[in-house]
Amino acid sequence: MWRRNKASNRCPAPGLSATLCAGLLFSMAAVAGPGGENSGPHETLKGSLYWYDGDLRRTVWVDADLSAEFTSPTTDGHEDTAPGLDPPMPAPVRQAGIRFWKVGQAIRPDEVAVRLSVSSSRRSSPVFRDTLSGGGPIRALPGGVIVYLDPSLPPAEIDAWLIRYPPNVVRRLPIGPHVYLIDTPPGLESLETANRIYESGEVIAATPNWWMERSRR
Amino acid sequence: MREKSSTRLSPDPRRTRASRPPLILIVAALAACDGGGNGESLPERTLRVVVSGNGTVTSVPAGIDCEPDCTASFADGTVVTLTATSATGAGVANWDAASCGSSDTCRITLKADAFVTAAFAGQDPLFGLQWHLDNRGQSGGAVGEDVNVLPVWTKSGIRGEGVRTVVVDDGLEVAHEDLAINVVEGAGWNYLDGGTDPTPPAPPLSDPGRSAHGTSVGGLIAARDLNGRGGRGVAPRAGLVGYNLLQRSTSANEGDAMARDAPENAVSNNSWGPTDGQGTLGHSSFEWRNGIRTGLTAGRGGRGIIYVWAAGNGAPRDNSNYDGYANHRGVIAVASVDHDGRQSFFSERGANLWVSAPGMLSLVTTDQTGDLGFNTSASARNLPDTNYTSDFGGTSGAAPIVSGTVALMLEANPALGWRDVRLILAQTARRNDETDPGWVDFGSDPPYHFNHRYGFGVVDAAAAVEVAGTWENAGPQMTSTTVVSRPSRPIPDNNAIGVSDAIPVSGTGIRRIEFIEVTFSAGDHTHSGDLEVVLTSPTGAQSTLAEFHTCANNACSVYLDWVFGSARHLGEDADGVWRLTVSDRFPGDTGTFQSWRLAFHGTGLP
Repeated sequence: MWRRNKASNRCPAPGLSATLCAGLLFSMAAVAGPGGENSGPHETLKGSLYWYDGDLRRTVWVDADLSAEFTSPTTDGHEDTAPGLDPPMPAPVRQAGIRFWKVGQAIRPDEVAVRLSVSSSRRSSPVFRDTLSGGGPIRALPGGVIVYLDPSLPPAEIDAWLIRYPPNVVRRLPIGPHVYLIDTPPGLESLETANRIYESGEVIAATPNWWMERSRR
Repeated sequence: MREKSSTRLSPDPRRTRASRPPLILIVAALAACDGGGNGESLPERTLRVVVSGNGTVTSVPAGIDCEPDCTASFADGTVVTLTATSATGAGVANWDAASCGSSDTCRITLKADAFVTAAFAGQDPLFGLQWHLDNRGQSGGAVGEDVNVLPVWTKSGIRGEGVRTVVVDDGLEVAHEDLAINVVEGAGWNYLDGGTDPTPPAPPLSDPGRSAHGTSVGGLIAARDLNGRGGRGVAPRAGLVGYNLLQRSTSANEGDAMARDAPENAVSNNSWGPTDGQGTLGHSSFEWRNGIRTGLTAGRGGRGIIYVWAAGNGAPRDNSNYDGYANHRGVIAVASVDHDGRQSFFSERGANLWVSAPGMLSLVTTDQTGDLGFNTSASARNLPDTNYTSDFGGTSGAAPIVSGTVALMLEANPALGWRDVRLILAQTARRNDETDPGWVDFGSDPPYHFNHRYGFGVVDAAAAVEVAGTWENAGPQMTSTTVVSRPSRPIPDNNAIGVSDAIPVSGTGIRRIEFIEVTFSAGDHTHSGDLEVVLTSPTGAQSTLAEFHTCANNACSVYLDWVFGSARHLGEDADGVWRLTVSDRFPGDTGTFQSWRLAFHGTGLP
């Protein structure tokens, strides 16, 4: 068939970090069942993770071919090489401070961060797809979690939550009564923090601060 | 229907254009002095007119017909009508004197001698190339295939004054010579550095135009008129604000860009979205949806920000309804037409489309200054002045033309709510491409026409502004959501009949639908591009929500609680039996019609 590309479903890659593997194994089980994704998998998608889009639990798949690098947005023209990595790929979108590295077969995704960390301005994240078939725009995690606190809480309780919670509040967002962007490291820690906060039941919603592929029209 | 009176649309500009003299800026300084009199007969008053620039001024009664300087005498109390005519082409008169307004004529009652200076200051040199504003066939297109904005400027004197319009894009060159005067100082936002200057950084030499998109979009909305530079925006006196979201498109920034300064911002132009041409579903972010909700409810003192959205350039593979931004009920999705009024080859179809506007890749607008933009000194087929470009377009170009139109409407009637604006645009849009078989006519009060290629048609600025001026606000919006129907029926493979399911709807109280959302799941289908999804209303009206299509890399998304939008049923009653038909149009892959539900938004007014 001219448009079919059905590779066999693959287990999570052996090279993934323990944290990622645990998430993958857990979430692969979580998405099985009626309504779950079961279309033909893309060759390079290694496994899935879940996150909360409001109260809707969504799944993303790791694209093991790519890694995203976030640099200081005002620093263009940063180094074009990193130890053991191919030169960066042409970015699918033209944005300052983000580029994509092709992850070679011999490089484990969790090693990418290490190799990119030669510069303190570099922050890396796995690249994600919205479907197992590899379709849809790409996503990555530049860091941060958006937290929606219950607006009916007394101000003192809101303040207490913000003070008690370890990450720093980066800024308040104007999209609701008590919505805050809090700081986290980039990559999976952002997603895991969002899930942990939401599942604590203390907040209305907690979503990772996704970077998403968006284009001019 | 919410008009206060039986409103007539503006005179057809194609009829008036030939007889209306082409006029440019008139800066009139009126200085009067007492001419005295003998007390026995009506004294004569002297009127002196001095013209500067390339044009003439004539009068009724006759007497003044001169350039650059002439004087005539009239009886005391004579009402003299001065008419200024540019020698260089179409334009707009702007009499500076309060009694003259912004029309092409100035009426003076001579109670004393008068001295009028009429200065033709600023033929916008590129205006004649802007076919989307005044299509005289200059690009080879059909005369009159434009957005009919000239009557708004010349007859109504409305040019968007005081209406703040946000360009959410890759930046906005706030110091551009044809934009700067309209830029709202200190109101922009830069997501790279947290400052208020959204001017894009200089691109690499190898990639000019990398961040010039927003500057071109801004010019289509509000390039300054009558300043001797460039061309004009649709609303050439509107305020411009730039947010450079596309420099760092995170979900937090998406939400922020929709809701930032919501009380002050009136129009939000968004010529961006998920990457086109993939055939996949582009989910909107939770933060974006919350930002839109905030803007609709808290913007402009509760009247709501008007979000205008580029419908997408991914045709024929993409349908605008695969885009979770463009198909949201809170945005006006804009398709693109060429200079003949036909669908641009890239413009996506969709039941969610609201209106169309010119977007063919020959729009003349501002460009990042010098060699930083799309047009550089090395460009072979572009304008000599590299501060401007003549090949902008896409639904990115169509959307700001609608945003400018909305700014004009809001100057005419600041009390319009976001839903009012949508209803007016739908009611007044022009049925373009008359021979296209996709048009359907429906409703009677008011009548609508709809086409999945064009929405309700090409925006008509003059008609929209005129109706806006007498519009009564729509009644409170009602929303009714049905239960989830779970047919769980296999979809016959490669079978055009498909499988249908019905939801009987009653008791909603919604007599006039404004928008419908259809939440649909066929999550086990192994190639969702095979599916066609059609919604049929109780009256038999049909919305095509999804079409058979291919996907990039054969990798389609999965319909799992995907929300389609439909504008097609505007004005219908929500109660009755609604039916969703799902068919598989290509052999090989199979799946199940798992579930669906409807959400109606509208009013209870009969």
